[in-house]
Amino acid sequence: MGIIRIIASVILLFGFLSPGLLASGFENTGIGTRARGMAGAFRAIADDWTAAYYNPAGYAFIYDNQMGTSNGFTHFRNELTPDYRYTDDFGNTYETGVYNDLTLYNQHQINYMPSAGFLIRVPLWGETVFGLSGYQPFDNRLQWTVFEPLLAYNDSIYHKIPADQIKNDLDVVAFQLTAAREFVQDELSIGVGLQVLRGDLLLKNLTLRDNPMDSPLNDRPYDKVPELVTNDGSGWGFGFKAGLLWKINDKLNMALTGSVPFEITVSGTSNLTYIMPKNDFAISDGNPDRYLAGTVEYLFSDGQAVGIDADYETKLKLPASFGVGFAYQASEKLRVALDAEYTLWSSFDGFEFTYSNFRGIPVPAEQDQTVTDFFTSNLTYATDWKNTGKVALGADYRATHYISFVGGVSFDQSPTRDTKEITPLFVDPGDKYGFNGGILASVNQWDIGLITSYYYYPDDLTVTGVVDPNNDGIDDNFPGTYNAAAYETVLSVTYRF
Amino acid sequence: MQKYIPIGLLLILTALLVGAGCSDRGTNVPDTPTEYAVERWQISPLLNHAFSPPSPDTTYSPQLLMQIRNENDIQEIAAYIPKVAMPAPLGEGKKVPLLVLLPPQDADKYFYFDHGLLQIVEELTEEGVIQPMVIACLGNDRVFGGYFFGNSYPAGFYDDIIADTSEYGLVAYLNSRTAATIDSPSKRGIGGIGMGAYGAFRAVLKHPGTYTSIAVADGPLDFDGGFNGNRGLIDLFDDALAEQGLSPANFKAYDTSAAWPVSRLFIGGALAFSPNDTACTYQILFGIKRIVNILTRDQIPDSTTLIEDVVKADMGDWDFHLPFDGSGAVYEGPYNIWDRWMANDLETLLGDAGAGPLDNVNIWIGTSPQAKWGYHEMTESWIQTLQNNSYQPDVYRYNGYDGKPATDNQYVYELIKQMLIFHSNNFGD
Repeated sequence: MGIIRIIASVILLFGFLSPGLLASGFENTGIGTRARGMAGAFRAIADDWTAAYYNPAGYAFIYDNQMGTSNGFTHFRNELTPDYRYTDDFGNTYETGVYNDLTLYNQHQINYMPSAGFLIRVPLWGETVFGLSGYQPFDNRLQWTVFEPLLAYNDSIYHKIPADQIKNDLDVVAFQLTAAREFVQDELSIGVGLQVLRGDLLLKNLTLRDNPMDSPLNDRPYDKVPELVTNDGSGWGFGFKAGLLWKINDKLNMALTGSVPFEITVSGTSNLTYIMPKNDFAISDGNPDRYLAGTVEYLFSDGQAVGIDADYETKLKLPASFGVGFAYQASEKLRVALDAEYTLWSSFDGFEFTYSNFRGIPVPAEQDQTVTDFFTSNLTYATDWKNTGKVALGADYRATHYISFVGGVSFDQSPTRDTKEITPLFVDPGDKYGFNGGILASVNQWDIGLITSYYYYPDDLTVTGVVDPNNDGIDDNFPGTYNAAAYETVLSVTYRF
Repeated sequence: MQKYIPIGLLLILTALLVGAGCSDRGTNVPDTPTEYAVERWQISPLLNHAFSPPSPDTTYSPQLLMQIRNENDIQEIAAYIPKVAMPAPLGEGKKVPLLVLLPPQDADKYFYFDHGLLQIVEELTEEGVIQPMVIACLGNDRVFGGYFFGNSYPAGFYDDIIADTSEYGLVAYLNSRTAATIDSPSKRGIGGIGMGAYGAFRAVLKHPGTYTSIAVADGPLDFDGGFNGNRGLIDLFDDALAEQGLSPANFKAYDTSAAWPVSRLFIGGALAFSPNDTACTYQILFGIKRIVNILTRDQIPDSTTLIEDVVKADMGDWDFHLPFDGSGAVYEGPYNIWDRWMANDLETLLGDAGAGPLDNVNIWIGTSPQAKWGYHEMTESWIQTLQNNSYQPDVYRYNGYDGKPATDNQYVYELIKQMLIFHSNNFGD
């Protein structure tokens, strides 16, 4: 009965899966405390339920049944010092309303990242071990306040626009059925994992759109119309994971792994809010040339916020990754492991939101096709990411029968290197180093663990100048200086039976 | 018991790390408007105005009708209008003095705003240091960075725009458009920096009585340097050639498309002062799209320093004669090319203006020995000329600081302040 309760609890946990992150791009760093404490160098060990994430082949060498859960608590301490200015025909720069030259922090949040799973050995096709687990292979949650319209542009809405102007809450949860068996007794195993992927995307962004009106209505400071967009939706997809674990001798293990998630189509609803220019004189009764209410010129002069609802669809292209790992039993108590992983982040090309079924387009806008197109255009947040490599070195030391210490360091490339298409939606400003350590305790059939991690980015990333390489009229970067750091603590409980 | 000490220490360390790493830093977003949010002015940009003949048969100056790549004849203008001068209910509709500011080369109508004009004027007005005034800032030509605010077909007829008080001029336009300025010469001032400084003095000399205060800072105020007649812009001839790597052999390859600053100075000047077309007749056809047909052209038949095929001219071939040859020497030729420039030199214009053109004009001139392109020397020479003609300008000499020389527009913020105070005092009560 107790076991049933625990299983029920684990299954319930699936319903609460949510945020975290931390490898390159928006890939999750990992799950479990032993693996995380060893900086993720766990492919060639893979000796608990978290092997579903690191190397499914590890299940074949686990001779007891297990269920477990872990939860990561992550805090991102990112910084952005914007330099978001435009340059006129003469080379002069001018302000946009972005808080330039101020060091801004992402909004305070403790993100949690639960994962859970169980495995059971079944006398099927020989001795095959099956497992069901839920975890987040990809995750991102960041939120920023970066902007206030210029008083010259619209002085009636100061401090009235929402604080969560840029927000990227992206969760990909994998529900994975894992199967593994030994192909050479006590020497070689292969495991596979079939995944059902659930993607949830809540993305808010600020876009400074080219004012579609002619001069003088689109002259500075009215040349850019701020658009605040909220896209909230979800979608389903599939993924595949496979691994091989080879026990070369009594001390040395080697592992190979691959993970291939397929594209997820995310759809949902959107709100497109436009902060319109406010030009009192242009519509003042005292102005003989004033624009009259009901005209499109008035719409672009009276400073209202125009809100339009729509449906959206976008593709989430997740990267495949491949890894190799080694583990060496250096002594009776000490084990060391080395992993390397290569992730094909170049397949991720950002988001292209396709909108349809618009609701609430202002009547004056419908009188002018150019303006209608302005309010209904699709938005693209393009990226030009590079593939990344990661190396992790970890060790665990069994101090007593009950206590183990784990530690590890990692080096992780950033997919955003050598590109100017950097935005606060994804903050991975450069190569980073991870430092991990913690303690594990075993009491009877229970294993509990606590580890903590610190991720250090030695270099700031400075992006200068607004770019629009796809020429869609939407800026594809957010110039400024980016700096990042992150802290993470992971707790885990495993029950062996 | 001792075996638990490392475990305890590890847990404490972990707790400290978690605590330190998870503290709330806030977002550092300011609670009040910052300097990044105050780029604002009251009425701009609705003041852009098309300066063109009012009808096909007009005999009035064509103004910007044929200016290169300005097919709508637009003069860009941004203006600050104080609250009290805004029409009700926005303001009190009170009429105030008018100040016109001309930009330096390669600067647009936002140049002075970009250098703090709004903050300065609001601060000084609030403190009572200056009186409220409308400040109209003109943009320079976008193609070649400016035409010295001179008069010619390809450059435009700026004399008629800036200083002519007829119904087709800038002053009349601003009065009608804003209904906020006092229509009196004693309540009008003009100023500028660099090329704008020249333009301001030119306007005052060409149309005495339009403005009664002028405040400028370093610019090409004496084309030949004055002291020995062989300096000033003449010193820059070599710089223009060096910019483009030109020699006498390839002098005619003078590039009009690139952003060479000194070269552009002479392109703008040549199109204004020594254009190939010295006069023309034309016909305007009004239909769905306005069409300007040039009927006859009077051209200078001298190809020695003629630069042809001006880049992307949208109407005709607006060629020009450079005032120097391939060796960097002054070129006169049979058609007095350099003399055409000197005919537009301020000293010449002062002589041509008749008796006492500046008698009722209060003059303020700022100058720094570090000013670029010999502008300081030219400015000092012009000051000398004024003094020789019994005018006593207020001269504001300044320097940059260590590491921050006043070579370009670094001290415009300070200059604006001085200029505004000078004009305000001149406007009187």
